[in-house]
Amino acid sequence: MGERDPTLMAGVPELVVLRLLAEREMYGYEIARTLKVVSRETLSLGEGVLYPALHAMEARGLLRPRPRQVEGRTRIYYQLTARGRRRLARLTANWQRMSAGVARILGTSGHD
Amino acid sequence: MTEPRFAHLSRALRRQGVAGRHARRAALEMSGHYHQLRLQALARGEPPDQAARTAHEAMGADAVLMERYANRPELRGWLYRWPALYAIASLASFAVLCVTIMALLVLLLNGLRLVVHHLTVPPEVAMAVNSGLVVALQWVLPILVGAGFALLASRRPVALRWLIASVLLVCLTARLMNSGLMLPIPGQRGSATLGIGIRLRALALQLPGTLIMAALALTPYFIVTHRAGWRRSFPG
Repeated sequence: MGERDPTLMAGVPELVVLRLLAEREMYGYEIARTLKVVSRETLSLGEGVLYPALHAMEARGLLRPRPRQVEGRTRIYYQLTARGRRRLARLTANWQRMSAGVARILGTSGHD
Repeated sequence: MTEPRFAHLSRALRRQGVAGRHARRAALEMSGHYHQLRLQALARGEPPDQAARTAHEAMGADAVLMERYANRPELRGWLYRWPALYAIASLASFAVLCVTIMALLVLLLNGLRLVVHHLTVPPEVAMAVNSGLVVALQWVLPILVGAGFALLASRRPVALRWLIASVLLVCLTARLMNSGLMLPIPGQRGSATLGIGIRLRALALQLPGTLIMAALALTPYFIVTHRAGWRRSFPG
């Protein structure tokens, strides 16, 4: 896995978690694992980032927790709310605009 | 080792001001996450002891997690976000208890009147009951309520100034209250009174009593926090 610059990661956990949950409801470990696999280990969220972020998103009404009993253990599955979907759309648009801008800058600097 | 670690984490988060439901859920989710990591390590062929160690190491330090929770104000409990509510809650509890006690006493006396039709007591007994009630409602009860909230504060992230404010508020209210229960005496019907009167002069006169009561109510808090501090400094 390559080196990750924390300054580039601001806002990324929220965006990627919302995106994953837009597909289907998941629980914490599943989110962490799926993120690693889908991003081919480019992105990974440690427990210390993931759970506080999930709880904060729930407190802001972006996610809805749903406890479920699986193999004698309680798992908390998270679902996206309508507000969460709106937030995801906004964050995605912002991210695409910003990354396109950065890509243009990187492309130009290559020709200098 | 697993469950105590997460139970301790939950308690530590609450002490830091994280809301109880988030603290409990964090422990539950972290415990589940640990379980999955351990299964993953076992599936890789690690022996059970090694798998447990690997899972613990992968979870990272609890201190980091606690810091992340502490940095999110939306995850804090109501006590931490609106500490003034502590003072209001203590006052409301005291008021509810006073009204409940008086209502129960009136109900009891009315019930007795149904059984004993001409219920009267000697004037000395009526005076003693009235004095007892005044002491109970205006001295003992506020000290107990104050001490209860103070002890609760020793386990919660309540700033000392808000604790002192809430205890003073309860004690001052008690000092400004008028309460009485006159049992029926020969030639006079019984009566119950409960009210509060606020006059600036009365306020000044009641201050010494208020301070004495507040000091008594806060004493258990200081003993408990002093002992806890001693235990932290010299464990075992």
